[in-house]
Amino acid sequence: MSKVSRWQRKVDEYYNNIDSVILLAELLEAGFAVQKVSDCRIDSRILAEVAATEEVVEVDRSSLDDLYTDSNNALALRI
Amino acid sequence: MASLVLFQGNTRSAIEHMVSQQTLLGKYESKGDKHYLGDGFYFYEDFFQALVWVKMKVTRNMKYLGQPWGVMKCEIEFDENSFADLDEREEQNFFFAEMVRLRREIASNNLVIAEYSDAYLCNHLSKILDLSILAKTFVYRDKHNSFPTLFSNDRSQPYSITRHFRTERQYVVKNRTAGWEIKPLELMESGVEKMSREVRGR
Repeated sequence: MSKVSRWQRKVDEYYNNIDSVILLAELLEAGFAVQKVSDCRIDSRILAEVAATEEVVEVDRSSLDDLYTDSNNALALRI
Repeated sequence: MASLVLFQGNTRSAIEHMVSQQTLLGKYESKGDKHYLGDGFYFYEDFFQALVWVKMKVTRNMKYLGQPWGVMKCEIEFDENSFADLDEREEQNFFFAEMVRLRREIASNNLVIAEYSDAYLCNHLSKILDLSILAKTFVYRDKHNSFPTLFSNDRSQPYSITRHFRTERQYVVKNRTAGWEIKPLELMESGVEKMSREVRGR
């Protein structure tokens, strides 16, 4: 087995056995400015409020990727 | 075990310190994303490249301006499996594939990074693979010595611009306690650069 094949196997094992918290810590140690994306829970009351004020007629579930939290963890909606 | 003879240009005080201790000292390790192969001790295989580089360091970098310089010779033994030569096609393919995989893993673990950096990827892979030494040839443009405009004042067409940039093969020795062994370090050459009045006045 070549050197690079061995490296490949080692990196495969690394990613297969690592959870996101450890990966975050290791990427920070490597120097990357990395952070966890905040969990984004959809609150139907907020969606209803947005729908009322922004004339959103319906919210397609496939567009939920567009729903994200900003750095202050405030809910924002990309319309 | 494989071995290499490498050269490092540095301030004479840094080199004398390392030569007296006969090891690479952590306080002189290069760190940060400005160093393309990640954190570690940087060397050239070419003595003259180290010489040119250190003369630039003490004449252009305000932090080291006017300091006596030196070039250190270092013979290093290492495990061939811990050497990543990123000029080799197979190792380049690996590096680029890992760059893509990192992006995928970051997304699938609900992480975000502010900015990608080759240096940090080198740090990350070095840790996973226990790499001791990485090497790669980089191009650089000496802004004090640019050539294209000497040849043409016409509006540039692609073929009128030289693609023959200067290159330098860099080596980084990772700051580790195992995986490599330093043979005697020695000071090869040293000197002090004369500063022009203009530079002294900065």
